[in-house]
Amino acid sequence: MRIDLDVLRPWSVGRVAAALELHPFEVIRVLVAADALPSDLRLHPADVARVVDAGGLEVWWGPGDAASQLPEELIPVVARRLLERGVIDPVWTRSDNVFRGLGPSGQATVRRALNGWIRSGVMGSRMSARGLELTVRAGAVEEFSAVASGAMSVLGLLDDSPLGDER
Amino acid sequence: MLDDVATWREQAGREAEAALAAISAEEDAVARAALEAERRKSALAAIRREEEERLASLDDAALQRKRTSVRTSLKLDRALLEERAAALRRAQAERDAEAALVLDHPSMERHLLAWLEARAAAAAARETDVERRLARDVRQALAPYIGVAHGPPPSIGLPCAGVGVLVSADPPVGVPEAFVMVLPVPEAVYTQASTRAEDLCTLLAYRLVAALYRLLGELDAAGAPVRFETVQGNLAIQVWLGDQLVPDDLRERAMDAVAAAVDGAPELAAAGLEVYAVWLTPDLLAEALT
Repeated sequence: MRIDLDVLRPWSVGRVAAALELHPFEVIRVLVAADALPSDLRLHPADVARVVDAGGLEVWWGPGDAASQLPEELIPVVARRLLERGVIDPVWTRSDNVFRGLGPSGQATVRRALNGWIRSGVMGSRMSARGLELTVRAGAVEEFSAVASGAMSVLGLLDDSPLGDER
Repeated sequence: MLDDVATWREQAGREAEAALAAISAEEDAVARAALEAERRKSALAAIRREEEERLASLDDAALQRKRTSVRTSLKLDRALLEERAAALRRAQAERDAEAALVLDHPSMERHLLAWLEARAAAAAARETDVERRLARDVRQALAPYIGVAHGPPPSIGLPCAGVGVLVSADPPVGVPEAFVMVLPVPEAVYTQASTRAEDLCTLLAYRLVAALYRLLGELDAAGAPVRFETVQGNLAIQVWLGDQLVPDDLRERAMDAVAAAVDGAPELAAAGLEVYAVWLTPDLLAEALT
């Protein structure tokens, strides 16, 4: 049997990031904010849970979710989940929680929708030590309810570049 | 008597003529000297003009040299870092291969599987006394190999060299509105983080990104927007501080933060590298790297 030393090796920042669908620099940011970054930059499987807790990471989408990536079907689900999870000012959530677990196409669609909501002022955004966070403005709950029920069109949201586009 | 007078006249005349000749020669010499002095004066005036022009252009030349120096230093530092990263990767692979040879033995399979199970149980926080004992026994058996896997990187045995991290703030004096760091690492460390293998450049970027976030936390500016950019193929980090109440000693704090971030870093020690911050004025940084 050929033994791979990697199974004995501590986890790298990149490995933890991959496990959490985060950029490694985000893992660094969360661990620094939690004062939990080891001086040798070597992590352990338990650090995954630590990053999840300290960074406020949530998984909103499982493998069976969002079979459709069509904006007119996906965005109402996003609006519904924002309301169901109570992400209404003053409750904030990480922006990547909203699309973590979706495929690339679904993620791009949700980012564009979030960007549209922020631009129109119905959603607030702020940068914190944990990363970019979002909230539904208290005065916009009715509008989000209309989107969630399909009573309001969402296609106008997708005119701009995606939220969090890093380049 | 008359003859004496004539002789006197003749002699006095000769003397007077000789004196006049001497005066003429002296006048000629003075005229030549004056001409030479004029030429010399004219030459000095030309030299003066040249020197004055050179003096006037010294600031521009110095700035140009500084720009060239910044560009060249960044290029050389990045080349050095990537060269050492490759050497460290080779040294690590060689050491791993030696350890793996010893591990590659049938008896080790049992130990390794037991160790993995024990680790999984510990991670799931459902350890029993038996599992804890098993984990202890397995750890003892695998200790030499775990030591390799958890030990510091192997030294590549090259002489110590320094690489600089360019740091700047705008305005350079007073309360800053923007802060920039240019790292001597390829931008791919950021843009291809999910596919590029972690190496010395990646680890240095992690340390400096951590230094930045720590600094922002200390400044009570954790919410400041941070952007990762590319500057001549290198990773640059820009922070907008305009909406933050940042103290005016950012320069000292930033230099300290970089020094603390790399202090005692085992991978830098193994690669024989010292990392230091270089503070530049924003105009010099911008002109040098655009």
